[in-house]
Amino acid sequence: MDVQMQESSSKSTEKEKEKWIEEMDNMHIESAIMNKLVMDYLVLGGFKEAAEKFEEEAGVSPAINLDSLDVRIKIRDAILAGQVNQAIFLINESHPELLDDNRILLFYLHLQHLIELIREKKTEQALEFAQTQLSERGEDSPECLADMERALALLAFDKPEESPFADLLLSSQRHKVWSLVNTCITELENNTATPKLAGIVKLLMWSQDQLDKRKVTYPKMDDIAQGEIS
Amino acid sequence: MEVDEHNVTETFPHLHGVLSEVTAMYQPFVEKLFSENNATIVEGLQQIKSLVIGNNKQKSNFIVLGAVPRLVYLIQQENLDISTKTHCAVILGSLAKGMEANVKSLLDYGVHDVMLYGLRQVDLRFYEACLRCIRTIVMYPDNSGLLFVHVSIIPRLLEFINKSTCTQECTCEIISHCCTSKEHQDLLYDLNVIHSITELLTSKTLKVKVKSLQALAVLCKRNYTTCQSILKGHLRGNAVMDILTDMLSRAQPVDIQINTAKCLTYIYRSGIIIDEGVIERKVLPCLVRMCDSSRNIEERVVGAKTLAYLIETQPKLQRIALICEQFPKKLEAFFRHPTIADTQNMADMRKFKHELGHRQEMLEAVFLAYAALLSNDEDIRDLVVSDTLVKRLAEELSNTSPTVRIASLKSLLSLSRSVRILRTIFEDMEVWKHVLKVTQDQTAGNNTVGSDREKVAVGALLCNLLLDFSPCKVKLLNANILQTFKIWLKAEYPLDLKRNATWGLLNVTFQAELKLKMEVMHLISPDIFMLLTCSDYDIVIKTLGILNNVLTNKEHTDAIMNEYGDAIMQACMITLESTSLPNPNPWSRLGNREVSSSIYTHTLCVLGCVAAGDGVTTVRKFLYENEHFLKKLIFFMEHPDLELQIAAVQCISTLCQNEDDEVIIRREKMKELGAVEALHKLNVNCATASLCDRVKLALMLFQLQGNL
Repeated sequence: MDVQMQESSSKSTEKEKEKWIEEMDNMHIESAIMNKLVMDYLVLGGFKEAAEKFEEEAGVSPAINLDSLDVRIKIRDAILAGQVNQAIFLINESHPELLDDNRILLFYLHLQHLIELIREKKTEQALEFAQTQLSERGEDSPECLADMERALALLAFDKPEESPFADLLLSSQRHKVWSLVNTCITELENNTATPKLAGIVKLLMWSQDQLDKRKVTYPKMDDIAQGEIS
Repeated sequence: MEVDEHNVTETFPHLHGVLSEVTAMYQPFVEKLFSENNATIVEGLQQIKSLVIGNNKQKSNFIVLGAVPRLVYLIQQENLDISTKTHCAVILGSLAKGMEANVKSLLDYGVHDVMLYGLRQVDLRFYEACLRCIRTIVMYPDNSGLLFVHVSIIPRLLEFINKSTCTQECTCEIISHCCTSKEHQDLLYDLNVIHSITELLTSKTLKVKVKSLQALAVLCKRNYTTCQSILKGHLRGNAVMDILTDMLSRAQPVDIQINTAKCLTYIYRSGIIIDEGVIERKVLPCLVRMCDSSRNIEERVVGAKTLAYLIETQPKLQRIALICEQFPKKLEAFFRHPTIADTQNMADMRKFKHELGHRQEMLEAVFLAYAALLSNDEDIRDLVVSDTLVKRLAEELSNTSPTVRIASLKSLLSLSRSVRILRTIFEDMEVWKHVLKVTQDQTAGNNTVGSDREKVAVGALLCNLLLDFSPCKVKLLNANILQTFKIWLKAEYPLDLKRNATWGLLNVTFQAELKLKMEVMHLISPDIFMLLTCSDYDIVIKTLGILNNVLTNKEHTDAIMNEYGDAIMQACMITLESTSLPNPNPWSRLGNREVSSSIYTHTLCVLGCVAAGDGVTTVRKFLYENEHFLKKLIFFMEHPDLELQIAAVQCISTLCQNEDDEVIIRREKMKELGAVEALHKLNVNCATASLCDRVKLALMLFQLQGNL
């Protein structure tokens, strides 16, 4: 009896899943809307060339003039190349109040500069820089202090790239800082800081989380990157 | 010219001590600004800019090193290119973002004037840099008046408002901070500011929308004209009010919702007639939502304060607020902060620290909300008030912040309107002791910040605590509260405080013992003429009310007239003869009556009390021998004001009714003066039954002459 019930229950779940997928397949989303989402992602990410190509191929106009991305691209290139002072200079030229109003962001740019000095084995310069530029923010904010301690700890190792804090020397660290800067600039320019696509994914994850909490059986999308439903 | 330490200390001797602490390594950067070579100047400016932005220590360093006067000088040079000037303006703007002392230094060097000069230039980047700098400067409370010192720049600001999102944002912010009076509002209104700002409501930029709403709120606060203009305004075919209503939608960002609600609250409170449904079903619920514990501190504070302002005079809105999304529970949650934080979680700790720093603002906001919610309806008080709340309010009267104390006093004032609460919880919690402490601190002049406002608030509460049925009345009198009132009656205090002091004395003298009445008369007799010639209608009426109260019993009347009779009669003479009349307040219930008629009526009530005194002593000395008063009584019977007629007839009746040896002589004299003819005339043209009855009684009393 119980076995039968289980079987019928799993069958109904399977049916629900099929029905769900079928309904999803039948859902018609205009390609223009999809294209706009992609363009929004490219613009907010600062991918000017891709946006220009996409504009040509899909015929979608970006919401802003793509030339306005040039400054952001220069800033991105400077950060990813480890030229933090150049990035700060560019930010101050284009958005003079940004780093005055967002001292945490400036701290993380300075911290990245410190990491670059350590990478280049300029120990004395790194120490002096930490004392003159980073100490002010570190005193005020405990979270900054913890990150500063991690970065300074690199100095204690002959081969920092083999130390427990080596992750700071990876290029992903530069990308993190760029991401922070990009978010702040897009917010300042009043483009939403996160692309609409990212918002949709967050909404999907939140909705699934709510359903999970309530122990509802539903066709769950486990692999969001591939769009696979379990 | 080169700047060295000697030069700087010579120019700014007071900085010498500080300078010794400033590292000299930055001096070469300043020296570059004095170069003859433009490229060197630009290089110096760029280096200084990178150093000062985001670094308060460097900002102070460069101010001490004398960079500011040089930057000011450079901006004013006609032959210098605009991009170099823009660098200078950006640096000055950054320096203003440091500590408050930095801004003071900038103003001392005339930076504000130079920035205004910059606003007259056409280059947008330079204009924006100057505008941002001015915005930063006027954001400090002491500097908000700077814009209206140079009124001629305001049309320029409005002309350039739509040049970029930066100009839109900054201009709105400048207006929000600088427009602090009705004169400012009217001046801006004449420059068509409402049109310029409302246009920004449909901007695609969120920040511009928010700033324009904030500016609009400031412009329409307590200003009927600007609100009227908003009400009639249209934007691309849509009514501005409809646009604002749509902005209250939950689908809008919270910043938009809360600022729109604030704006519509001010429009509603300006007295303009708008759709009540919008207020009841959209604005009020929106503000209640903002008070929820899930919202951040700033939103909760603005939500509670704005809601308090919205409902404080409207019992209907108070009742709606009570049942809207469990509003009382949301208010209770204001006391449960800061929320418990996980010490390992940085974001949590930051939030905890932030909340801890806003405790006073939270208390002020929640107390103001309670004051408004509980101000009228006894049923609401029954549902909301608890011992804990009253205890909390009483304890916070010792808070170090004057604004919290004032908010607490306002809440207690609302609660003191309930006889039940006054006689139970207030007594249990010994609220009077806390109030007395505040009163004594105020009188001793311990509080300087906002002390007048606080005195007015505590004065209003004392009025209720001194009501006849209040159990703490005697305790407060024993604590010598009358002396406080005497001090507050002095000329140098604001009218609001004097009004509350006279009101308090009015309550104290109601059905009081002779000793207390004598005490009050002793207290006010030196100031009585000043009070009766005051420009405030309520003060005059309440002073006459005090005289009325102290003369309500024959025995008391004779005793008081014996001591203060001359002063009282002179006071009555002043009010009857004065040509300059006081101004009524919006809440003065005059109806269609004239101010003079109301004052004469109250004066005749006082004379009526005197007339009820002992015939041989009091009445003879003060009324019978003073023909002027008797003539006035007859004159007022012919006055068109009904209440004045009644008071005059009543007074004549009292004079003729008083059963003493001289009553017949008095009646004869009144007859001689034409009282009976006047009564007959009045009898023919009686407007109401009440007057008719009194006239008939008076005529009957005159006919009794032969019987006595």
